[in-house]
Amino acid sequence: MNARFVLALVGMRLRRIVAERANIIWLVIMPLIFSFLMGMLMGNWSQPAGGYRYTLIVYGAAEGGDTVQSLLDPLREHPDFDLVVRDTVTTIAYAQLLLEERRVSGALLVPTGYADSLAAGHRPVLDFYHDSDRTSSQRIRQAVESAFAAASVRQTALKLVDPNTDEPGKAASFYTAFFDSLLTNPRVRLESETLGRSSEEALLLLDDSRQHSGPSYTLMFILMFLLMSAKDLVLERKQRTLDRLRLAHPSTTDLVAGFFLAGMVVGLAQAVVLLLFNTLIFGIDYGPSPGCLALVMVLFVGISSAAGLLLGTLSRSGGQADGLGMVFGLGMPALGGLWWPLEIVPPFMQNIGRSLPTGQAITIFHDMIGRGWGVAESAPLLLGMAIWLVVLLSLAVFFFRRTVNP
Amino acid sequence: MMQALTRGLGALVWKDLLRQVKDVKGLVIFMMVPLILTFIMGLSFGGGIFGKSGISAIPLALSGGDLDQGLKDRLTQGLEESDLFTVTWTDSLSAADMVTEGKVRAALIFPDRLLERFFQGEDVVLTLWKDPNSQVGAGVVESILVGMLSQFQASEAAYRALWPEDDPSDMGELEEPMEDLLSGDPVRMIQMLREDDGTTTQELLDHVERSAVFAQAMGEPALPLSLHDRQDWEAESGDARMSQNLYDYFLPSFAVFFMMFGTAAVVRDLHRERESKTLARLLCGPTSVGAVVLGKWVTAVTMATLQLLVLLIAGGLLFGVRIGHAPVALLLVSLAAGGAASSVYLVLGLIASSEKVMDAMTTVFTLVCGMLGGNFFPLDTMPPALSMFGRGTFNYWANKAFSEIITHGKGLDAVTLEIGVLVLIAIIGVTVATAIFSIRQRQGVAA
Repeated sequence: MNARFVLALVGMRLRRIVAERANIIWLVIMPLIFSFLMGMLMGNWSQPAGGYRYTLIVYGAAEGGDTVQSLLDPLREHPDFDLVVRDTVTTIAYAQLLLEERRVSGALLVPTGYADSLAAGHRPVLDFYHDSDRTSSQRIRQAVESAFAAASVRQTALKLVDPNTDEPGKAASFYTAFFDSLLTNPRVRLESETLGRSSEEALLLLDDSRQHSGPSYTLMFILMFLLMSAKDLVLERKQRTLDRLRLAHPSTTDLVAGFFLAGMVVGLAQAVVLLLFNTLIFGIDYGPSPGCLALVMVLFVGISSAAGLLLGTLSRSGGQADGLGMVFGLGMPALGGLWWPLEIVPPFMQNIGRSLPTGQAITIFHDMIGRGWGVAESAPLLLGMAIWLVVLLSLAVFFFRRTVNP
Repeated sequence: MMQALTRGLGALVWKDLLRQVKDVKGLVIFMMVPLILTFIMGLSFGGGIFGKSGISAIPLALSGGDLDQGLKDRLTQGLEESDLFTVTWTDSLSAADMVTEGKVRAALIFPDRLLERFFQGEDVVLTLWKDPNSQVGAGVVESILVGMLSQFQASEAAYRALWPEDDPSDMGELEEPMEDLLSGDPVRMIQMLREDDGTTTQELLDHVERSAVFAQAMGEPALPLSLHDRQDWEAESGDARMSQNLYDYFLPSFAVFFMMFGTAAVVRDLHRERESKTLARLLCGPTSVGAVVLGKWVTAVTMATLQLLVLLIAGGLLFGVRIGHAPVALLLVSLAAGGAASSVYLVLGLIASSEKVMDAMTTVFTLVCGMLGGNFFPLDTMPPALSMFGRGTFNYWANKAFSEIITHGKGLDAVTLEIGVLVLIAIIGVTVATAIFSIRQRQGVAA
């Protein structure tokens, strides 16, 4: 291999990329904007997006008496939403309008004379309006149902109190303090624990969607940039500048190595800048294994560079390279779980996703971040990526020799 | 004036349309990419021709300590029949490994002597181990368990608050026979009841009666809560959504997104004409500045509308997206969206000094507007501050209009506001573009 020629080719391609100021948009600015906005949109996967608090509105609170007040008490300091209480009653149509216009995420309507009706031994109905298509509304519904379970059970139990009878099915009184204490410290309870890295070990855990969007959009924009660079190789052929390079009598290996390594250098520089920015700006944590992080990025950049080279070799025009670059540049991230977590798609789509380099890379990132895995644990997926690299690079060399440099 | 403005407009539009149609590959790409992405969405999220939507069964490990096999089988059957879970019974060590390695989304660990603890009033702590990489699946498991437990916890607290003397941890002489009974041996219990002087039997009968009365009362709660979902009341008022599938949202939103790229590409032609000096030649003739701007705008509107309509029709044919019920509304929204997009990109094109600058500027603009205007995520999921910015983008109004028609199954009357806003953006944009071009023409830098 002619190392001087390869280095010259790498240098030339790098100078071209740097000279084109617009490239900075695709290399750095757009990935960071995507990481930031997508992270903000998805928010904490267990909390509302962007830390915003939604609204639960209650109408007719004055009609509800102590019963409704006790129902609302546990909802007042809820971490996810604000409780807005109106003493006046309102119409069903207005409550529905508030939901439809997304001004609130839940509306509880207390009918006129609710407390009196309850005192008279009737079963007046409270109406809760929600929108099952909205996650904010689903959260509020869960909280209302949970608070309501306690209030309703308590109210129902009070009906069994009759101090003037010895019937076994009746109680002399209802011990409110005891009820509250048992409710606060239940005998049968659930203790949840997320296995893997603890919050002490990591800057951010995977329950913050920025931990997904940061690496995801880094990978996506590396792949996109290198695939879209395929057009440059086509232009080199069309404009005969590749023929000029041939005057130096390079072998196919020299040319392929030059184009491939140039892509590697650009991709790795982009990866370093983006991963660093993501850590500095968004506090993203990549796990305890820098070796695994380096390996996955080198393999992914290699795959992207080889894929770009193959595309540039097979495309007959700049438009074709652009179009196919866009199809693969968007399709592979979508299939591989860079846009949404693979766990929410059917098993066969998960299998497809994990067989692609995008799916393998993001799974390794998730495993590093969530489970604290390193090279040894991620070896099967790293091997999968290495196979992709070898296959794509071999194909690129094969077609380059056949079509570009016969 | 109108005559001067429109002089040669037809010829200009025809010339530009011919230039655009010649770029067949570009057209095919802008058509194919949204269809491919929608196809991937369909495979990922189901619905329509892709079958049932919703997340697939969540792999769950259960560790039952010394639970009876019959009980384990019944629990497995109950969980799997819900279609929400696939259950694996294992010991707690293997369960931890399975969660740690991502083989299951969560593991529920029952304590040893579960039934004894439960019936004898001891603390019962169920442990849930969650996969750190499964925010959705493990979250669903936890949410269901918390919901079930909160109802039970409230009921137990209420029972004990009514009859504190029924303390299950203080069973006295019943304790040992009860232990045998729970482990499947009723002999000691029967023997004790036969030999009893009546006190214990009476206590037991009282407890049973109280439990029965309490269960009956809980079956008819004193505070009924009636839940009303938006879909239900819309269905009752004849306003039912025609689809709940995500790809019914994503096809129109991807169509709008790629229409934005397509329109930017059409408008970019202005710079190519400038560089090849054909624009200068054009302005030497009797054609007015307004006619040139209008010509570019009409070409862009035609291409954008065609692109949207072809994509929506293809979506209807390939993915069953329901577009047939309001064809006039779809056509008008497509036209208005195309008009607004063309105006906005025309202004950007005129502001940009070269094709490269315009390329960079429109790419950033399209991607940011795509995100803020709801092309990637429904606006409802955004924080209100971002959502407010979203309303300032033209694609927000186009997305909203298409969503009303396709997702909500509404007609023209439901999207008049959106069409109005898009038309207003189009008029303002064309006016601003004409003004910019006129000023440049006077300054001698238009071409």
